[in-house]
Amino acid sequence: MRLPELQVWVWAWKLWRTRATQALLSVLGVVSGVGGLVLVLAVGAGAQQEMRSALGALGSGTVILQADNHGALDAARLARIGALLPELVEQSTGVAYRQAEVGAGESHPGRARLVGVDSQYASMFSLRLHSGRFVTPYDVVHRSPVCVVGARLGRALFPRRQVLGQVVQYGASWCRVVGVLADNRTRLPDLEGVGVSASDYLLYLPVTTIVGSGSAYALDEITVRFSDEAHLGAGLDSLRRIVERQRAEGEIRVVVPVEVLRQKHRLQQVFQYLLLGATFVLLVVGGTGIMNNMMLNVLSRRAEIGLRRALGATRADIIAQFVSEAMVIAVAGGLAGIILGALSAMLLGWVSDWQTQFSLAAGAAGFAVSLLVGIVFGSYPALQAAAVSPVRSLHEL
Amino acid sequence: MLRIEGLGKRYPHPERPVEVFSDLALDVPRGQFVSLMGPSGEGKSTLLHLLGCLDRPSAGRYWLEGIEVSGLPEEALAAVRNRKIGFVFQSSHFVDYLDLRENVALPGFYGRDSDMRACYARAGQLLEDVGLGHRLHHRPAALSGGERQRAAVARALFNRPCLVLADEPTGNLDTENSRLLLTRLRELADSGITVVMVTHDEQAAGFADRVIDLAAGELRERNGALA
Repeated sequence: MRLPELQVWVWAWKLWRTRATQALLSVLGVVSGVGGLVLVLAVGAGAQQEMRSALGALGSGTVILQADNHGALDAARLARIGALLPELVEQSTGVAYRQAEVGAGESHPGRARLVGVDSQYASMFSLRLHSGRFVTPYDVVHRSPVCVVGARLGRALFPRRQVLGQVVQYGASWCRVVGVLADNRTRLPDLEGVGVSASDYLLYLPVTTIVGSGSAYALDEITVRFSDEAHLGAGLDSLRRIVERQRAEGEIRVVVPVEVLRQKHRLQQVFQYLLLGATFVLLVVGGTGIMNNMMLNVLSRRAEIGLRRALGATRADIIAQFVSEAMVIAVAGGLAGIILGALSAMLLGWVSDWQTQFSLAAGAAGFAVSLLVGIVFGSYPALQAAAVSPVRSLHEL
Repeated sequence: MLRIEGLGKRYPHPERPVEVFSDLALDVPRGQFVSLMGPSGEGKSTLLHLLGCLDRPSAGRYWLEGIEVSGLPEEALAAVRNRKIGFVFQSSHFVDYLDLRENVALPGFYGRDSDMRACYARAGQLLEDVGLGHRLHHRPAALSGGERQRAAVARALFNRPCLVLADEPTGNLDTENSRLLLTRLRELADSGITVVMVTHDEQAAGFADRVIDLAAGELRERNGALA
């Protein structure tokens, strides 16, 4: 272990340990600046992750038709869309939603959303099964009393038991669990408001089981997936024409989930830019705080500088010492900022529908920025310290 | 061991440069204890700073152990201060946030050829030698004036210097502590280390082999002869 590589860091640490309040006050700007930077990166990474998950789960060419009135969409229309646009439509599925009290034996977790689906649904929304199977065409045709439970709902209904094969009561009816979904919290983003619900707390049943049989049972949503995003424009026009023709029978909304997500991400980007600007200002203010503190340090420690020079320290040693001191408080502030930023990102994820993702890269960026602030804003005071004349400062002893 | 020839120091001034002294000559053999006396303002401390390589002369030459140091670059002067010279100041300044052992080990760190453990071991031994073995991890502020000066001597000896420069080392000490410190300086000289001490105290000067006055820009031996 040799000077100045390591010992200056030990000295710097000891210095700030004895001047903790001074150090704390001078790094508040760096703490908030780095915290803001980490938050910006976490929001950005979360948005990208959400977009990737959405594209992975839905595909970029997915369109959802939502019925505002009961009866505006039905199974016959679903069949017609597939028939009218055979070259564009890759897959389509119809969904009906209900709400009901669910329970199993003595477990009554409350109301849950029932989702009436056909056999296409699982593959269209990339649902992964933990165990069992999904709804089959046979179930839809024969209105089988079977169901697939979301992971969280399954745990709520049967906290200590195997879920598969159990009987679930919904409203006045019952169904036997034939499949349990894998926990999807890291795979499918919560797209509530864009036509797709998080699958965690849902009970999936054959659509005919909850809405009745026949060829024209009512649907709440029809999801159409075009072969790719390039076909989305043409397919969307055709869909809108079909929807216009149905207007008499009720309002139908056309939702393009990827577009909704992109709009949301544009809003997030504006927030990110604003936060990035504020972060930059905070980092400059923080750096200035450190520089101010270090300048005061140089003035109040002239005698120490003179003493060190008398004992053999070169100007470079003095520069290394003072830059290290600035870097130590900047990095300490940066580490506190990284923790603050990660906690803020978690909090933002909880209180809003924004997905945030703290990554090691964001932490590393925060660390690097704080290091840079220490070097940049510690250099000038260090040069001032090195310029102190040993003879003059020894007169102050 | 220590030789100066034609040494002068002038400070720049907007109207006229201020000349502290000029054309000083002095020769001090190894192991001699020299006491530098004289009225205030005559340049004793300035001369000590020049001998300590903390400042550069405006004129003249300075040899230390046969090497001319007056023309050395900054980095080399720092190395000379570190390797060959030990300082004892009047107020025995220490770095307040380091403990006593770390303070005494500072010259070792700036020596660059010692590892940390060896530096601490030597600092601990030097403090033991001056009776401060029980104070290794105390902050300098917790020490008495006498203890601080003893610690300062320990620090001055860290790199086994050939020259110890002391600027009014007994200025803040009582009679007993002054006597102990001067005895220690005397022992250093007897062991072969050259000691140059600036003092106003005639009793302190009595511990030296040689008393030289700096007055009216000249160095004079106590017997009146030019040094």
